[in-house]
Amino acid sequence: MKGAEKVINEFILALLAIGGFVVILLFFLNYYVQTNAVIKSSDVDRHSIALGNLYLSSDKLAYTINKTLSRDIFSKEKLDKEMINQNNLFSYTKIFSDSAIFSDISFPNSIVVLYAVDAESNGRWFLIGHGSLWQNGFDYYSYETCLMTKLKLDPQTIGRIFMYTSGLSGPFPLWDQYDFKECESSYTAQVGTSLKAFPVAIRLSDTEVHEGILWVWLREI
Amino acid sequence: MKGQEEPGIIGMILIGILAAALLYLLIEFVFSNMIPLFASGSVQVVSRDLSGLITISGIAPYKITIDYSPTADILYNVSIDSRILTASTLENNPKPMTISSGVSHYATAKTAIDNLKTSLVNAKSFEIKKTTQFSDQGRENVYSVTAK
Repeated sequence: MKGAEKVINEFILALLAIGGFVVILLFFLNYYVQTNAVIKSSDVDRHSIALGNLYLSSDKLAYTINKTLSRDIFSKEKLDKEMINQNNLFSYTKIFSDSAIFSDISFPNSIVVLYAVDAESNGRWFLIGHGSLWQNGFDYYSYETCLMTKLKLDPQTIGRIFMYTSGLSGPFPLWDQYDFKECESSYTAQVGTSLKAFPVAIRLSDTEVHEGILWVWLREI
Repeated sequence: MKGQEEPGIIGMILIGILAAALLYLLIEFVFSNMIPLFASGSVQVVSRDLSGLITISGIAPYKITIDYSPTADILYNVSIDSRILTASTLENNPKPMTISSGVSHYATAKTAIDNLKTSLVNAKSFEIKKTTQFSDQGRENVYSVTAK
């Protein structure tokens, strides 16, 4: 009996020692993984904040008169020209063409959705684009084709267009998160996603300026 | 009984040594990978800060100048092309507390602005400039990064 007891005691001691070691191991691993995740996600957040601020200062969107650019004030005329709205919704095929906005301002290997809302008149402008895409393993053309197939005129898309034109939808009127994820299923090394909102003024005319919001959704790959 | 106990004690000592060795390797791995993310002079931090400062210089509606000196005595090689900034330090650079042993001497970061291509060698501090030029075609933003 004594021998058996001793074996059991040693076994329990060994288990405790191994358990203690595993706890310490997990503590360090958890600390490392969490800190890395925070830093990586803060990179995407910082990028989306910088992007939003750059668009607020972009002469493609901001109101300019002579040599003066009015930061934070968007010109409705420029929004109508550079982005997609209710009036030119079916020109969405230009969504993936080289937008002047994104050729000027965009991070490489990233996809950007811009969504501007006039809070007073319910006017909406939308644009999706990307920076230069050359990340190894990411097939942009397959990605683009995949997203375009999501726009086929099925009840879901018609519903989204209805939601968009009636002002009920969020910042992703033509695709949802599942569409993006499905199209990226073959490429899993995404860095992260960030969505930020920026208050803006939208200048309609010399005498009319509305309050609005610019949403910037950034996905880095 | 004594003869039976000895192998158990030796086993425990061996397991203890093994555990200590593994823990040491783990701590070294964690800290050598963590420190570069925080050390003020590491290329990871410098590339991240420099690319961020270059990007936000574009926010200025007309012009802006930013001086950036990450440390007093570390030299960096920096190149920017296709909106990718690459920073590296030389192996024989001084290694104060800000750079620990085992830290990578190479890092990349993204910028979001166009029209910037430059290469700097042995730079200690940097001057980032954004100006706006006007012509018949409209406004054009011009960016530059130089060593100081």
